[in-house]
Amino acid sequence: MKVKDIMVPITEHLAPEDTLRQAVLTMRSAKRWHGLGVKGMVVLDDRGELVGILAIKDILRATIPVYLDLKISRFSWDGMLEEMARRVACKKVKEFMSREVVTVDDEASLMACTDLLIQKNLQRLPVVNQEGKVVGIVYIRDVYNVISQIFVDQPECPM
Amino acid sequence: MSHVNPVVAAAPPFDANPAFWTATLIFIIAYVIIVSERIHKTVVAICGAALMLLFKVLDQHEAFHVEEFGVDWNVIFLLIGMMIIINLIRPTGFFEYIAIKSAKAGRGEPLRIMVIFALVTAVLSALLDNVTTVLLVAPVTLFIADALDVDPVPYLIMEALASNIGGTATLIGDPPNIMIASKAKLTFMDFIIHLTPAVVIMMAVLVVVIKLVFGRRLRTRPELRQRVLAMDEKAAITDPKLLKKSLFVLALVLAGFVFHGPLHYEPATVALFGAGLLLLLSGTKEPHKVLADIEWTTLFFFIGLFIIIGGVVKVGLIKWMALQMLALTQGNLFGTSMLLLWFSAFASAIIDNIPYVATMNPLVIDMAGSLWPEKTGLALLQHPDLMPLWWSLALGACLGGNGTPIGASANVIVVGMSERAGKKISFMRFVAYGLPIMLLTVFIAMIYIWLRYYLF
Repeated sequence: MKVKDIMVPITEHLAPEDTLRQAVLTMRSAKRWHGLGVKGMVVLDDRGELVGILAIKDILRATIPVYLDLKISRFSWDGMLEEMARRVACKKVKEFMSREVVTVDDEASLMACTDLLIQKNLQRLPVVNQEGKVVGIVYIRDVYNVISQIFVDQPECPM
Repeated sequence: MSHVNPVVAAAPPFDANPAFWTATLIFIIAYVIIVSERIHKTVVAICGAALMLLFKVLDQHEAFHVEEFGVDWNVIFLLIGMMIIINLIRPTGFFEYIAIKSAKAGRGEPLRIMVIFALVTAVLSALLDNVTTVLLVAPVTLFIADALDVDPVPYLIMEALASNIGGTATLIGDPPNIMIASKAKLTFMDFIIHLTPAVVIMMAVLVVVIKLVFGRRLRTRPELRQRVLAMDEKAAITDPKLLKKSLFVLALVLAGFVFHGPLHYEPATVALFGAGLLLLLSGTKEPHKVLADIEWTTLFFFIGLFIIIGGVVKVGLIKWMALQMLALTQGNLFGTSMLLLWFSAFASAIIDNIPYVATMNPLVIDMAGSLWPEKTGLALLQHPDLMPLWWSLALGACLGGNGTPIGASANVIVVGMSERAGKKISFMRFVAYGLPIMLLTVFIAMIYIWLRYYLF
C-alpha cells in the first residue's frame, strides 16, 4: 500500500486569517469515522498553498502567556487558564499555527510514512501530490489500523 | 581658571603618521557600524581588533598583555566570575521567591507593588548585573500584572529605570563602573562611599515620582488582590540545599568585595574565587552547561573593544581628544566635570555605554597626564582633583541609559519581553517615562557632585 491508499482526502481546511474560535468550530464539525472531531487541520492560503498546520497542542500553547515558565506557573491562580483562553479566542490562526510542516508524498510507501511519523514525533502528515498541492492527510491512527489488522488476520502466535 | 596648564596649549596634538590614520579609521568605521547595528557589535569589535593587529598599530603582546593598550582582563574575569555565580543561583528559584514575596509585601496593591518592585530591582541590580535582574523580575511582573488585571507596561519601564539607577551604586552594578574601577584602580568601597549615597537619593526621588504619577491611576479589585496574597512564595524554591550554598558563597563574595581594597585583592580575584567555590559546592557534573551559559558574546565585545581603543590610545588620538576637551573648559575641572556628566548622559542615551566608557577612560587618564605631568601611578589616577571626574563619568554613563529604550541593555530586554507578551512599548512611550527620569537623576547627580566635591 501507498500513502494515497490510506490518506483521508482533504475536505476542509483552515485559513491563516481565521480566528481560533472559528478554527475550533471547523475542527469540531469535521468529524472522522470514529465520530470525534479532528485534532489537527492544515492551514491553506487563498491560493490553496500549505502555510501551516494547527493542532490541539498549538491551541493549548496559545493560552500560555510568554512570561510563564515552570517556576512561575506553579503560582497561577484558579481560573487563570479560562481567563487566558478568553483572551486568545479571537486571535488569528496564523499567530499560533506550526509553520514548519512536514509533508509526505502521495506516492510514498507506508514504511517511509510510518518512519516519518515516529522520527518527527507527529500525529498526522499532510499528503502532497506531484504539483505540491495538499490532497489529504495521513493520521497515525490509520497507519496503526493497517498494522493491527495484519496482526489480527494472522493465526494465533505459537506460545 | 586655576588649573590651566601650559601643556594644554603647547603640546603638539599627535604625530600624524600612517599608523595614526590607520588606527583612527578603524576606530571610526567600527564605531559607526556598531551604532548603525548593521552587523552584530561583537563581530565588528573582533574584526576591528584583528585589523589593529594586522596593520601593526598594536603588536599582539601589547594587545594581550599590556595594561595601557590591551584587553583589561580584570573586567573580563570579574564578569565571568559573576556570570558563573548567577548561572548557578538562577535554577534554585531564589529570584522568583524574592519577586513573589515582594508582591505579597505590597499586599497586592498595585501602587505599593510598583514601588517595591522598583526598589527590589534597584538593589538586585546593584549586586548583580542589570540584564540578569530584569530578565528575572520582568516575567514575574507580567504575571502579577495579569493577576491584578493592570497594565504591565508602566511597571516594566519603572523596573528598567530602577535597574539602571541601582546599577550605578556599586562597582559590580553596571559595566561602566567595572571598567572605570579597573582603569582608575578604585575599590568596591570607593563606589559605596561616593556613588551609593547619590543613588539612594535618586531612588527616593523615583519613589516619590511613582507615587505622584501613578497614585491615582492604578486600581485593582479586592478579589484580584486575594490571588496575589494566596501565592506561597516558598513553592518557588526548587533546590533548598543549593540555595543555602549559593547564599553562603554570595555573602562571602560580597564580604570579599567590601574588603578587597585593604586585603589587596582585585575584584576579579574575589569573583573568580566565588565562582570556583560555588561550582565545587554545587557538585555539578556538567560544568560545561554552566560555562556555556556565560555571555560570551558580551565578553568578546569587550575584548575586541579594548584592543580597538588600545590602538587609538597608542597613536595619540585619545590624547588629542582629551586636550580638546580641556581646551573647551579651559582647564577648569568643575566645568570639565559637569561637561563629562551631561555629555556622558546624552551619549549613553543614544549609544551603548560600554564602548563610550571604553573610550572615555583613557581620555580621562590622558587628561590627568597633561594636567599633572609630574605624577604617575595611583597618585595620577586618583589625584584628588581627578576623582570627581571619574564619578561624573560613572554617573553620566550609567544614568544616561534611561533616556531611550535603546540606551541600556535592561531597557532593550524589557521592551522585547513586553512586546512578546503582546504589550508593545513604543519608542516614544519609553522616552516619555525615561527621559524625564534621566534628566532628573542626572540633575541630582550634578547637584551632588557640586555640593560634595566643589562647594565644600
